[in-house]
Amino acid sequence: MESLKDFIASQAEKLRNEESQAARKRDEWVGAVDRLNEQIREWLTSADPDHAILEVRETPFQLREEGIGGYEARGLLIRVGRREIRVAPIARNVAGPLSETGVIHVNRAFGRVDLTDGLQKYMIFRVEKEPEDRWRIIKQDGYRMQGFDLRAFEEAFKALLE
Amino acid sequence: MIDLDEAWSWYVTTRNQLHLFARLGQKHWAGLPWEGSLGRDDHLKGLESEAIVAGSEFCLEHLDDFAVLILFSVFESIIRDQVLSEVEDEKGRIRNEVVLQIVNDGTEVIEHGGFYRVLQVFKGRDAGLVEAVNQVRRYRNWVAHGRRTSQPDSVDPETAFRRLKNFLGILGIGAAGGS
Repeated sequence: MESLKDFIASQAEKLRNEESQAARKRDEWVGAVDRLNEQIREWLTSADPDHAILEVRETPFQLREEGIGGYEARGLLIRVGRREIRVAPIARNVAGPLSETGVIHVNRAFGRVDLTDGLQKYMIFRVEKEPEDRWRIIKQDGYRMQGFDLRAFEEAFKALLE
Repeated sequence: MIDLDEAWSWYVTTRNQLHLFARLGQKHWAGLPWEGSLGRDDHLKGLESEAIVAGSEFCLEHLDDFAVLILFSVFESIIRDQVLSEVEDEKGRIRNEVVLQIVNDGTEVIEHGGFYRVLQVFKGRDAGLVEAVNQVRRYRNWVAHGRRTSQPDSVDPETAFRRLKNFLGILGIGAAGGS
């Protein structure tokens, strides 16, 4: 029979593994959000090279998720005159928006970031993480999900300002 | 009893109304003809554009989570009713008092017990489907208990609605048609 000492040692090992898995998952997700922010910044810079209209700054979001714990992820705050648009990381663990239920399997997304002015909302789902991130965007009351590229971003950004 | 489509319709309508009012406040408030009856309306004349937008933002900030909560409550009620009615049908044929007592105890669980146990009944039919609904259930519980613990898999209202509707549709339960 396993002694208490051995039991505690094996539990400690299990705990260490869980913690390191959670840390890997968190870091990988926070990195993905940073890359997305960077991409959005590039697109905004090419639209307003002199930063004459758009004021973009990074802003922290505190999140706490099952299996990951509490952590900070960075989003963006984009000011256009008196209007404000946020790029807000929502969660690493999300129920997949394209989920097939029934006899099929449940697809998952690997994170969600919202693009919002506080009223209208676009949800950007990370649908693939390997070999590299792939994001798709859908308007909250929309039915068409599309790849998150420059065109989709511009369309969403303009709609939020209209 | 409200059905799933009505609950969804409530959510969409509420969201749209808030968007409309916010848009009116944000874009057109100053341009309204305040010199007429509008300017004499005590409910409206003191209202400022920023307050309308801020109020709408505040409501929308929580609306999605509450929608998931309501959608799931409606779904839960439909499922409990359905299972209860199936058990009642079977109960009529039971003659043995001991078995009847066991079934009555089971009925108690269906009516008042944890919904997780009720959902397990359907696992034999489709485990993936039950897990998809369980994800929504866990998120609903997190919202209902004040979002005090770590957040489970995040669920948006549309995903919740589709999953719950799918469940009812595939298992042929309740009014799953429409939408």
